[in-house]
Amino acid sequence: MKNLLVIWILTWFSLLEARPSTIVTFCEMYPESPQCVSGEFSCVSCHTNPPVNNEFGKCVSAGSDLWETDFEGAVRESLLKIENLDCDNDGISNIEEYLAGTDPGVANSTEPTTENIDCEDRDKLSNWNVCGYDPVYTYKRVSLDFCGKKANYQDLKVFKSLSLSEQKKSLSDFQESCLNSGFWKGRDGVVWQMAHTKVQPLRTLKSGHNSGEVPLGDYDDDYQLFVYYNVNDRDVRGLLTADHYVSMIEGGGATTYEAVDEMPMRDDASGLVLELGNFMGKRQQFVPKERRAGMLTTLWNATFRTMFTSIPRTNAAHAMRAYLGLDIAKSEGLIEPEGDFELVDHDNKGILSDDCSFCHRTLDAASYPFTKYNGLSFDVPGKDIDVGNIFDPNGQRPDNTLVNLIPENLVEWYLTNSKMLVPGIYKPRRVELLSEINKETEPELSGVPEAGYVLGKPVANLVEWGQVAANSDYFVKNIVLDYWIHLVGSKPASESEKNEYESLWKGLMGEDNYSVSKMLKKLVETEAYGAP
Amino acid sequence: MHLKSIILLVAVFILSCGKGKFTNQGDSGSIEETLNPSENEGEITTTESASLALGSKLKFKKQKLLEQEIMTSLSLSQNQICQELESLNCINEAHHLTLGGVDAYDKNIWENKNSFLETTPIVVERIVWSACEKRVALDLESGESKIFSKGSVSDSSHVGLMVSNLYQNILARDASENEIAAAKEFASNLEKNGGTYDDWARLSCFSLMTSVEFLFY
Repeated sequence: MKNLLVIWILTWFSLLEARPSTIVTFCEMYPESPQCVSGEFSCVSCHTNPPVNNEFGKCVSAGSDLWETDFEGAVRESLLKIENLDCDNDGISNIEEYLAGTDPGVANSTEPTTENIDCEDRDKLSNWNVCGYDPVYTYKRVSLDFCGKKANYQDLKVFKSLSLSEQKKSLSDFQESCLNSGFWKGRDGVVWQMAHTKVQPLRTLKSGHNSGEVPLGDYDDDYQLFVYYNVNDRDVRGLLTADHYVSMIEGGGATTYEAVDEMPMRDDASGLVLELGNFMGKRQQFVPKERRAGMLTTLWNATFRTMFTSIPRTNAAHAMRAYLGLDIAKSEGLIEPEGDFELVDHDNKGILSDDCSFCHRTLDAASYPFTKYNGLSFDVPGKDIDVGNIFDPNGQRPDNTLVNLIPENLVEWYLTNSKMLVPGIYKPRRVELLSEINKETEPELSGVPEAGYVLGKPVANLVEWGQVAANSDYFVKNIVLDYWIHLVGSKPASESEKNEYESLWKGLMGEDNYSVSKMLKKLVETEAYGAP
Repeated sequence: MHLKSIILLVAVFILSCGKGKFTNQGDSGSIEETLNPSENEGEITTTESASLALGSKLKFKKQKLLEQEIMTSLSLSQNQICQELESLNCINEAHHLTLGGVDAYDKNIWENKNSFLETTPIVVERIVWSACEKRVALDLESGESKIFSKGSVSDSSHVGLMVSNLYQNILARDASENEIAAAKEFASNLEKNGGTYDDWARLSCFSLMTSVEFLFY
């Protein structure tokens, strides 16, 4: 029993101190090491019996103080630090041993541990063509990645019996059928789930299907728009340029998406969406057609990201990160606006200091076009609107809510001409009204222009913002990178992978006419995806 | 219970160091020694693709994919695979995050990057063991015979036939001669140490389904 206890303790300890991820990190840092090419770099490269370290493992362990807080960071820091050391005292430095394929933890290892890394010899031991692209291997991957199902014994037997050209066609047809499957494009399918980091859902605030306690918006509209432009050969730039919405029809095991000019309010709408929807003609998206910019101007975007802020910096930063792959928080995408841009502290947030302005010159310039799209302010100056009960499904709507205040035939006129601010609308006078409402804290707000900058280029409004962004290299690179990481498994690392990645994103904005479906057909033909 | 503990311990080492093995201990004593890979020499690999090809990007079959693979490989329904506390689906409820899934709507876990939690290997083994137990029970006790039919560990040709079934169902390929020989050797050693055909069936299933070739793609 005591032995068993000791074994259990060591096992648990080994899970903490000896991690398979170390192998991956080593091979990301030194992909040319013969031990990575052949797969020989393993637990025993650092350990005798995990977690007990060999001489190399002791060196690695001593090379960083980050083990408790950032294991992967510690691996990277340590490996770099000990490159020029000779941990096993055999007269050959660690980095020389990595590149020669000898064992840096074993003193008498002066010959490569892999007897022969020649492709053909490895191929003999394997079921796969490890020297290059293998259609059978790819077929298995496509079946899992695109259809979500296992390629069984019979399927593979039939596929293997085909000629190479027949295999290529069969694979293409198979992938095409999978791209139309519910697994790929249905609710909570692969593409839908890729939108999670863009939409950033929060069920508590959701209206409609699977709603929450405080419904402020229905993010299903956002997901539907996202999927629509990522499937069926559509131009993916629509993510930032679409002037319509998308409805989803589920049934009979199939999911279809349809573009609609206006988004009708759902039967199960609730909370703020129900209140506004009833006020706004039974709709649940309120931006006029000529002011829409795809995912940037949805009600969810307004209520969840703009919220109560006058200058929606969060919204602009999120758009840059989600759709252009530029994270301002990491100082990415800090491109100086062209021309004579003057940074002004319109909302009195102290952004003119040196520590702040080097980011805010980009961020604020990118945020201005968002300022006409209202977030969560719910004001009719001079009227006291009680909104509390609209979130209670069993509550009585108070007499002074929106629906009761303004006659239906005057809604459009009132929205355009009055001082009324409601969530999710486009209002040219928004910052002027907010500067009046917030006159104590943001007196200079009315000076905020609608024109701004994205990627250093001037834009007149958010519609142009979306167009400039969608036509940029950053946009297509980000699209392809998302799919690459999902399908290949990690970012492009080696030179050949980087070349294949570059070819894909350039193709997406070139001969593929921004069709994600076409790009995916090519991705499946890359060695990064299809070489075992 | 004792046998299961040893099997789980061994499987932790096997899974974390990336190679699946049957071991060939020859005439050594107990089942524990037979199953402990750390003292073995001359291991015979179950999968002929012996090396973890780190030049490629192997991906773990996360949550839904793992579920599909187990269901298809072992002809089990979703609820037959594994239940925690007899009510929570292991893959979709109890361990969905540990298996690489997301919880976007309620917990704001919008993505699950390609890294493992400390408990992922144990959870995988737990689920696989449950599924294998179920398949063996259905085949041998209820007579379904989807993969295993009744037999004996001493019947070498029957063992070979079952191994072929296993490889075709789980790994979607034929077993090599070496792999069949290793499985027969394992059955023979098991018999010498008091193991039964049911034990062999469960352990063989478990061994293949915790291999790199099955869990990654």
